[in-house]
Amino acid sequence: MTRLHFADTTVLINFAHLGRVDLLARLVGANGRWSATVAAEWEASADWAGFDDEGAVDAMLGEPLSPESVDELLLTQTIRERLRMPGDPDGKHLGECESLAIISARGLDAQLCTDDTGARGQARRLGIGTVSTASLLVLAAKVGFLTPEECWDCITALVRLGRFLPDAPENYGALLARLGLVT
Amino acid sequence: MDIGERVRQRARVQRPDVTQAELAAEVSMTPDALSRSLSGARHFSAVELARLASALETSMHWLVTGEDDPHRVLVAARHTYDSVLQRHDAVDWVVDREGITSLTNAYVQVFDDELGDPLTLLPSSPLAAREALVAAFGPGFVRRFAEAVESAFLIDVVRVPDISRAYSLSVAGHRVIAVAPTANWFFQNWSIAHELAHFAAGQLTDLVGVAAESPRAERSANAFAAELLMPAAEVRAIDWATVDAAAVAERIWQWGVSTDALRNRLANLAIIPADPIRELLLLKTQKVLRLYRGHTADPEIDEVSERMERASTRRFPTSLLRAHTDAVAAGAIGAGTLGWMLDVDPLDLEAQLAPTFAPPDLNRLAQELGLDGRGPE
Repeated sequence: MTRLHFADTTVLINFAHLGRVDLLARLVGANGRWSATVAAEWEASADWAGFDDEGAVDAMLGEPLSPESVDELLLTQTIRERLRMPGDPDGKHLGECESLAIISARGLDAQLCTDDTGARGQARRLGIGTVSTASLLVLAAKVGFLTPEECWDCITALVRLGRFLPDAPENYGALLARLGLVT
Repeated sequence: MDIGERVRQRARVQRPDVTQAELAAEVSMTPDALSRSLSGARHFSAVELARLASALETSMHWLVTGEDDPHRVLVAARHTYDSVLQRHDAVDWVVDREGITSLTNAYVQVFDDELGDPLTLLPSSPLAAREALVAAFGPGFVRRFAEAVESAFLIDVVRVPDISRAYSLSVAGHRVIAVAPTANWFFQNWSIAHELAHFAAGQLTDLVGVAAESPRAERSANAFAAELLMPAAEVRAIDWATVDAAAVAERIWQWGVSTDALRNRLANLAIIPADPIRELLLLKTQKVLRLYRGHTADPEIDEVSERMERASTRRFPTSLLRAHTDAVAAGAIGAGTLGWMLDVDPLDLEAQLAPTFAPPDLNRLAQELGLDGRGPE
């Protein structure tokens, strides 16, 4: 069974902003995973933003994975060089890179959970599937954890908060229309 | 030797007065986590190694392997010359680090290839280099110096914002001369010619060694630049006792050099110009050109302004821009670097270039997460 590997804090922060980490945990079930760098980033983000979901996220994603070999660490570096954009601070993207390196080097059955455009591109380059915040919310609507209207409200709320969602939200509106969304 | 031993070794050398507990705090680790990682009982995370590399002034690659990073950027030694004090000073390259790092990442993101063949196209003699440039772009090659260098020697020339001086570097299979945008094209031409000399002499070193290099290489590179832009034979062919201001202004324009550069060239060739020319060469370059060089017949054309504009805009090779455009369109990378190169908003680029929306396979995702059988099809 595939695992959802949370490659950074983008999706976690979005569900925390919505106050729906419980929904994320319900979707993920026992299939969540993360790496040590992302766990550290989440701890810092949660402290900074005042989220009180640290325990729930820790329980959902379990013991973080760490790079265990020189090859995994070198691949982390290679991917980092490809992801770095002008103006990025030194530590940016390390979580995504570490996650991709671990999945790729170990041949894990995993989908990369992130809204980061660059990380999604690198995942595609490595043949790894990706899952975004919006696709998880639409999945919640599909399996009946949310109504289509509740799902659309979540997506538009994130847009209002200025959160970046890849794949223009209107595309998800069209998907939700198929599930019965009336706008 | 493993990672833990290398961290210990580096800490002993770089930070002998810092305790293990203090180092742990500096890199946001608990003393226990650092201790267990150093002994091999716990794996370091990527962010921990990156922070340790920074704290110990080394690369993550060295901590991991004990070897120099094969993808490290090689640059030529950099110095400034204070003409008043007649002194070379090592450049604090840290101020240019952001611009150079952004540039090197632009190459790494789209080019994987290792360094290609040696620079067989670039002669070590400045006159031979000039001949190759003339063959590629004609006697007026200096008006399109960047394009001429790329065409003749397969060395990319970029004008990068956020750097204060020129660099020659080697990255991802490409040789690159990076110069700062400036309205003073004559300084920029000199920089390009100077950097060509570093390539011709094979004087690229690790970035970490930049400040330690001897200024001798800089003097040699300046001599190369002088001969490339103002060949001694051409300079000597002029009668400097009788030449008038208009003719000198025209030479400055054609050679693409500054009044300072020409004055120094004459001194080095032991040529003593007539007093009016000596005084002329003490003026600023642009002033000499505006005072003594004729205008074109078309009043709409201001060649000086055009040359200033060309030298002051950022520039990247077409091959690099195309590779980034293709990669963004394929969804392989974000548009951040392309936006930086073009000085436009990356989000606008992604909106135009990014792949068509591919809806997620919700049935499959539900199945894989054990949520199938719920909700409508």
